[in-house]
Amino acid sequence: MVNIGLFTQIVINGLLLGGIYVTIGVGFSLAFGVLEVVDFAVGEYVMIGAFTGALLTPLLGAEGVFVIPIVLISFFALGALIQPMIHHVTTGDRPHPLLMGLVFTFGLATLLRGSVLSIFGPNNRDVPSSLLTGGVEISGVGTFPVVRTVTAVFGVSALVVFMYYLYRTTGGMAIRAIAEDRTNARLMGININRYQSIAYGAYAALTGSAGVFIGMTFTANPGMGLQYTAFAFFMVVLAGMGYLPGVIVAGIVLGLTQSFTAVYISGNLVLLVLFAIIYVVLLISPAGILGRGEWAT
Amino acid sequence: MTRNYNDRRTFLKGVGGAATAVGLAGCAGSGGSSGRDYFKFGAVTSLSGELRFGGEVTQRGYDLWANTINEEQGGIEIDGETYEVQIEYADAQSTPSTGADAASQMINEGADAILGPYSSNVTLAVCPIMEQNSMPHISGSAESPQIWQEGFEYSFGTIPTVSIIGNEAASALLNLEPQPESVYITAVNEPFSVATGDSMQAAAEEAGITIENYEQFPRDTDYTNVVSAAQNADPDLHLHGGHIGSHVDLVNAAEQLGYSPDGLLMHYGVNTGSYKDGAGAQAPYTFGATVWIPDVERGGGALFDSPQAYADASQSAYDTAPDYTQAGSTAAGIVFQEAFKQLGSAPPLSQDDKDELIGILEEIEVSTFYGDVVFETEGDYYHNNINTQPLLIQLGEDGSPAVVGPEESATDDPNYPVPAWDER
Amino acid sequence: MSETTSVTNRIPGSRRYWYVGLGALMITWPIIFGNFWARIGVGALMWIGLAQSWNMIGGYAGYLDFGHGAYFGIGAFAAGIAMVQFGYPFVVGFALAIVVSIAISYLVAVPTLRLTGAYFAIATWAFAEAVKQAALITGITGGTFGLSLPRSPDTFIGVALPFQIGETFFYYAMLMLCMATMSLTYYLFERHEFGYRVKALRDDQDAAESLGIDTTRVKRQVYVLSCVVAAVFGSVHAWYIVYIHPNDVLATIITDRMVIMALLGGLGTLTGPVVGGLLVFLLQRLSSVFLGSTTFYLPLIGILIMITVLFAPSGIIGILRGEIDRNDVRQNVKDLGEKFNLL
Repeated sequence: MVNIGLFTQIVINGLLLGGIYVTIGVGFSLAFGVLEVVDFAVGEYVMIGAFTGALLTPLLGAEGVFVIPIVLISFFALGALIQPMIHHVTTGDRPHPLLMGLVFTFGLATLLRGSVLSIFGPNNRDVPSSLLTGGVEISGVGTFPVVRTVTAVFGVSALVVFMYYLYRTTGGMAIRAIAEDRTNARLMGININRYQSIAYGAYAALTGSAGVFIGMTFTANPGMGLQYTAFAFFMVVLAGMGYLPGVIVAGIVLGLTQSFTAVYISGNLVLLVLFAIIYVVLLISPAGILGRGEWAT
Repeated sequence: MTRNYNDRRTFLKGVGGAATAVGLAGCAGSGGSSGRDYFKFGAVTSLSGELRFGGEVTQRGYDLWANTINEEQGGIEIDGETYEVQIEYADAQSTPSTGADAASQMINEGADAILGPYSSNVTLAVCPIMEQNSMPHISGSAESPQIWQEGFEYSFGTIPTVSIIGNEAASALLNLEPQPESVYITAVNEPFSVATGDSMQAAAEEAGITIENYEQFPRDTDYTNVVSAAQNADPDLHLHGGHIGSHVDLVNAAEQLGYSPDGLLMHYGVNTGSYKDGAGAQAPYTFGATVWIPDVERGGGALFDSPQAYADASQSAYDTAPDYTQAGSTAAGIVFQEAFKQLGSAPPLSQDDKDELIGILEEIEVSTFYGDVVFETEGDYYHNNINTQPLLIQLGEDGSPAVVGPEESATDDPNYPVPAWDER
Repeated sequence: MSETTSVTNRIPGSRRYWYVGLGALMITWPIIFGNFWARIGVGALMWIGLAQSWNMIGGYAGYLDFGHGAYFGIGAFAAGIAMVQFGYPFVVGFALAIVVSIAISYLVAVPTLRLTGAYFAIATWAFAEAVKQAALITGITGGTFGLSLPRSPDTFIGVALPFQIGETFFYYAMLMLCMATMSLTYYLFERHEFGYRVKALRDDQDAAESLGIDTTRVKRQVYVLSCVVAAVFGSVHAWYIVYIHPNDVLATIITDRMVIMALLGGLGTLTGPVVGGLLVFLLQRLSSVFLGSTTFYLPLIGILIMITVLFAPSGIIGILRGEIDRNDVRQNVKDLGEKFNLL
């Protein structure tokens, strides 16, 4: 039953889904590569971004897109404040730095999720948008849901902007220096704290904005974070830790795999297939499917 | 350094010892009581954790029953004397193992009977405890058919199992004019939702309607794929089993891809505020299933004169409109009260009393604002009330639910076929 | 360093009475305090055992196993499948849990233990999630509906027994398992040469290799052992709770809880998991008593975790041993403050 119409639509679905994953993967890959921290709170930044969208949109003319700039700025500040704490628990002479970072961010994630749940309740909240409704139908190809297409464009643009920053500005060079060798970078006079905070702040800002888009595409719900944390990990494993261009490939692979498995094999097997792929990739090629990732420890 | 170290150790030891002593005293202090002059009900439900909000619904239901009967009648009347009703709550914390512990705690403290948890999986862990201790138990909420298939002697349920609710609601929808020719069924891969999906599938098969596909998927799936596959099959109706979050995702994806079947039936939770808020502009015209809403045309019975009277009482007590789980929970209390009256024993109930109560519950018929409650005594729905009529509802343009089926219970005409997304 | 004094002689006199008293309390616990507190005891003992099992691979060996909870679930379903699908008594399920967990953990250990650090953590997590998904769709595990285990007196060893399989039975079962786990950990990791090898590989794997320690073999042994312990507790838990479902016994929260208990108590210590396990378990169980019907315990646990990691990384045992005192905390806070130097 090979139906060309369905096939192309599934490809579109997969690519756009991948676009959503890219928005989460870009920031996370940056934080992973530069700060060497496994951040369990990534999904909760998405969730809080979505909630911010749900709460602020009615105040801003019922258009979710207007919330994005606010989220970018406020989440950057939030990230810059949180980062020193993470840095603190992963350095110094304390044992198990990796575990410390992991558990700390896990505690942070629990705090964020529990607070939102306690204050706002468990219900779903809509993030309305009058600009990004419906889908654009291109005959012979398929329907492109507007909000997802815009999200994918946002993600890819963010990736391009980050790459430019990293490779074409002095600030970016400082960050790359820190990622490569923290001690020498400090010896070169780079303010480690500042640049690490910038990196983490940028990651939080981007992930929070992704959350607003995701809120517009789906809904805002206090429990949504766990799923996106999982997908962030998927992305970073497939992309190769710290390798930004790999994020696009990873997003495409994940999105297409999910869509094709769901429609042509069985919806029930989707998560099993994804987790199995992650596991196998880690065993065979820990530096990502392109083999270009890097990791200090 | 050493002296600080030793001082601190001694201090900590002292604190630890004191805490242990207090704790032990607390432990030993609990026990049964004799010569009680009130009826003691234990309620096991999730007051914290992710199911807290469902647990609160059952709590409101149980409390509304207890408060109303105490205020209006002074309690349950036995042999000319009235005995007050008191409910003690134990928190299941949204997990089966804590739920089982909570049930054991209630039994330990000498309850006369138990009012059950919100969710089916906690109920499945609580029922064995009830069996082991021969303690009567009515659930005002749990709907999974698995519970009744186990054949627990001491457990009953006021809400018909979802296999019946889903089936009847779907049948009502499938009987609307113009008659649909094909349906597409989807369900989230969890026990309740799969049971819902199965029941809808059964309804379609009974009506002789083509089932294009019956697709199951995990909760976190992406619905564009679900919708694309469904769209490709171009069914007349789409039936879906899941919880509120899943419904919201489905309608959002449908709107984004322009998927507009003639009707979309989803269960459970379409008539809740959470669905309305989450789905926003996509909520109107959705079909759902329930066994009770405040507008339903039913009589009253013991304790509440009519469904509207109950809704008013709930509004003034809790400032919320009740849903059918809350109604079913209050009904559980009402059933107990009538059974206790028939039993005619003063508190505290002995084990013989409790065993006799089981026999009474099997025979009893209680008319309530919720509906008429009768428990089955054999078969797949053992000890479940399948008597209360399930209803097909549809959300109006303003998002409020109206009963549109089955024919004999409908109060409004359905908006069918529903308008497409761009026509709204 | 040879030990010539016996275990009992090594405990100073005053503490001996404390331990004897504690032991007597634990043995008579369900009889004195009744069914409900026996259930609390069952839960506490099980989590202490689980925390200890994670401590073996995570604390002593330094490998962050974020899929450890999967073996709890594997043990639970081994017992469930044996009893429900094949009608065997519990002892068969128990044995099956051990056999299956040895097999699976060894098969997982060989490829996965080549990874380290974050890679190992993510790989084990992915494996555990895959197990859960598989359990949700296969028929033998009951699929999406789970399994309900039988509990009549003849389901223990196949012959009708004169006593009820109730709370008291499970309390003593868990007590024996927990004591066995503690003794095993004490003997293997604190007294036997094996413990030195494990700690050596945690501290510096290359150096350990150069000393002639076969780190690959030691790693695998620790991993398999820790997984079997978790599976054993899982099988007993399944029979205890009667109804098992992948979303409950294969949930990620199980691994997360084990990790936090071990961390809070003190990683790589014998008594750390005991303290951490008891604290976290009781806090969670009794939270509704103190906090009422809220979800406030969630953010509270989050803050507790963050504060512990920030200021007391060697856990409660570390505090009790005097490894952290006021000066350390002050220095810690000062260091933290320095990190906020952003401009």
